[in-house]
Amino acid sequence: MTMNCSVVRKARRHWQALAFALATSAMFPAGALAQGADVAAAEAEGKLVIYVLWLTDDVAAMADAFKAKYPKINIEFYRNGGPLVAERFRSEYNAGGHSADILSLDPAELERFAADGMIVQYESPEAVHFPEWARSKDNYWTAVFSYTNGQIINTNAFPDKESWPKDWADFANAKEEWRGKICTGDIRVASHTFNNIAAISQHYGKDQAWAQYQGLKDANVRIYTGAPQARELVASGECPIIHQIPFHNFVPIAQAGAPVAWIVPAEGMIPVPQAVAIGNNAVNPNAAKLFYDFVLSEEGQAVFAKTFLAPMREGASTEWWPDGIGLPPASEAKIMPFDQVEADKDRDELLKRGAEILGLQ
Amino acid sequence: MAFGKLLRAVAAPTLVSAPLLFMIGLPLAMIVAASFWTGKQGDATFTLEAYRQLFATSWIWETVYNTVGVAVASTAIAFLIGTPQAWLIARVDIPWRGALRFLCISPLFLSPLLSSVAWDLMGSKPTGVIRFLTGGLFQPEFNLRNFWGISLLMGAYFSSYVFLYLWAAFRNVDPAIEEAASIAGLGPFSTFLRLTVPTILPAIAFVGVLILVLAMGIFAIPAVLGWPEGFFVLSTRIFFLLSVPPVNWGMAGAMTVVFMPLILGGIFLQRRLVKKGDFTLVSGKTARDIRIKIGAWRWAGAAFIVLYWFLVAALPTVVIGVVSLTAYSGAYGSLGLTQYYRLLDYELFHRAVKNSLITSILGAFIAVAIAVTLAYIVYRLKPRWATFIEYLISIPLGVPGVVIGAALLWTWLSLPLSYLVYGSLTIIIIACITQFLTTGVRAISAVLVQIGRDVEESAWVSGATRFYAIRRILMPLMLPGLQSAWVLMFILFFRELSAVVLLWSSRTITLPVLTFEIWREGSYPRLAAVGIVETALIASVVFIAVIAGSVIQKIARFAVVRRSSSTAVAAPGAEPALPKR
Repeated sequence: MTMNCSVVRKARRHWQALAFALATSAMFPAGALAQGADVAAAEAEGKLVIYVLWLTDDVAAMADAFKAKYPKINIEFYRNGGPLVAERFRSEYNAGGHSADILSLDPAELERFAADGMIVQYESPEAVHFPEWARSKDNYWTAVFSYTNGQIINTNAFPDKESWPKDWADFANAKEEWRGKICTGDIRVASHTFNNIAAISQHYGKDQAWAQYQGLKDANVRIYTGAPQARELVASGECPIIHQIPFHNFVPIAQAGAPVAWIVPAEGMIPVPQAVAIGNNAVNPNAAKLFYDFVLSEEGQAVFAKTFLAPMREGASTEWWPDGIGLPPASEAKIMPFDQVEADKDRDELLKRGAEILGLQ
Repeated sequence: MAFGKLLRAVAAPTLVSAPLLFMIGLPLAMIVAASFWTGKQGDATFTLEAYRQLFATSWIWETVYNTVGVAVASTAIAFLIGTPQAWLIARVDIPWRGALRFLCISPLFLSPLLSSVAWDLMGSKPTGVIRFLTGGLFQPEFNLRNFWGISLLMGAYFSSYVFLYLWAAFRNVDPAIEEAASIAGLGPFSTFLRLTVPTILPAIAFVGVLILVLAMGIFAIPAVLGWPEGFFVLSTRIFFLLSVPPVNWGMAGAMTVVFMPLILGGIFLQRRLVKKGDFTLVSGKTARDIRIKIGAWRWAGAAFIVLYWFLVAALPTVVIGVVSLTAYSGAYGSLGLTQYYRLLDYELFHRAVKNSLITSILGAFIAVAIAVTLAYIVYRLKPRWATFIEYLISIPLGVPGVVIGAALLWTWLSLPLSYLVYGSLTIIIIACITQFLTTGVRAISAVLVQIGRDVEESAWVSGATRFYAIRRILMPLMLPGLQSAWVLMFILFFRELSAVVLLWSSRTITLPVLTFEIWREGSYPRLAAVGIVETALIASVVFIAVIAGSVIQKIARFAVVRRSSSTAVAAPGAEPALPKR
């Protein structure tokens, strides 16, 4: 896409960027940042466009909850994998056309948009309830929930708990009985898989990360194409150990009675945070702020918890960690600290080396 | 006179080419340009970097080999299955022709995504769906996740296209030729090989190249069966390139450009084949339905079609049906309708159904109308610039859908008033037409070249205008072809996924997008439930279209017969028998 935006409308965009910069600086003087959204102005806009990489059901549920509270505002959404969402936003932004009012991607991607001036700063009054590491230093974005990676094991294939993996590091020396029975995601495609190795590398050091990948390779690991396939594979016993998968995939099969168990690794589950931001060329800036506040509020956070995504707000609902499916108590749902923006700086190296070790072309 | 010449030399080509250049040429140019310009936006420069990168990868030649190999193998398989089917139904006295004809095209209703998921599940021992279906009797174990598995499934799938076109072509073969051969002592099979096949060569060339090109672009089957094993073809590789940040449009564009010569070569070959001979088989003489008798073999023929239907359509549908009743795959102990109940208040699903029906039904009519016009210009009027049009509209077929989608996004975003089109169902219809217009044109031209010019000329002699001859003589004769083309367009549009992937929003979501989203994120049971509804929808629309088509054909035939008997009375050279309007 580089060519059309660059060649065709170079000049036009620069003027627009300047105009936007002027307009936004006039609209949000520094002192007035934390005032929250203007409901009347938002309702006058009556519409909101959001681009996300959340699951279709999750964005639909959030839209429904928002609409129930603000019936005068209609929500339209687009969802896809992170790169395609980012790509569409970038194309539309560069064309100067209407695009997303709200954007939700991983923090590293939003940082890149912030650097290019494509999203605006907004200090939501709700943001104070979020941990420091889940917020942009300059108020560009707030991480609202995280996918939490751990392992799923088929209990028919491995009835003895002693034979289960206990921690990420166990895969560096995979047991003989696991050989040919482990599946993991595709580091190049699935963002939860990439972030997994990035977190391991940040937590244990690069050498240990590659040792774990080598261990997987030596155990004849299979690559699954997407988390849903993986959960079908583990439920049916075709692939009894899933090395790495977001938690919300586990709950439906466990609740349906599949012979599966969730493993919380000793060093903790790996969080893959998802953040929200407001587009610089938002056509409905007030509705965007209203939505931003709503997603950060206790009410909005509870919507994520309902579909088993870990809300980021301190003291938010624990509904995401349900009873009755053999999980340890919520207090033992340990999560590894993870600076996603920092880890993403090694992206190219991690992708290249990871794919090399697993023999992915 | 001079004005007429000028009109013919400049105005007509411009009038026809300009919209096509705008709709197809501009996005294509965007793709080509994207492969040559790299760098951050704002200061992009011309470079061959994308090509250098592409040919430096370890996978490029393997991907080319896989793509071409799978395309050739699946085309061969499609002909092996589809040709005898079409001949049996169109020309031979086999029983229950109406029902069997429907069985031959039944795989078209099943989405390739679901078929491949179904076959993948069937061969898996732990999942054990066959064990469940046979009451615990047996469970085969096979692996289709390889070159031949993918080719076989694609071939079985594309054989419906072979059937659809060759059936229409066989029907237009003058039985008198075959009768003559039979009198001359030629057996039915020699007649078929030595007389019938050569006369339907345009249709064979058309559908052969169509399948080759479609097979190079198909996404779902290699995604389900190839991706997990690291077996990539052009389409999956490009989707892959676009799924990995940062999105590399340069390389995706370069890959598309690399495959363009293959596509253009195919079209060139096709043109040569079609030009070689005179294929006029429908003349103003006979239209009797005389069928070849093959004795007891006809039962074997019927059995062959039923077996085909069972393996390619019925069994996968049953498997998907069973999966849609489970809570998770392998859980055959407790079956229930939970998934279907959930669809009842699944608002996005309702919208997707509505949008899909609107875009595909409306889109198919628009596409057929444009296609008839273009086919008549290219194959009847044959002006010199027609070749250009033919090549232009053919290229998108070989460009992976997601790239077309991106190109349309860039094109429409850069136009004034784009909001009227962009973000609405219109752009989804445009995406479908851009991609498949050539399919429609060729479907219609395959029938058109079989209808002798004498049919039209005799109408002109009797004083009819060109338009009157087209409307009252040519169109009724082409009705079976038009009907096939509409059905094909409808199905292709209804199932179109990859070109829409970048263009949809929750307001304009279509059923394949929703299915794909569920496949990526949801569970097989839910995917199966939506898939069953999707299949039922396609089947019922096609069924209605086929019934409506045959009714219209009967009316049209009756009208032609009545009209020709009335014009026959007019003496040559007399006052032209102008139609009463």
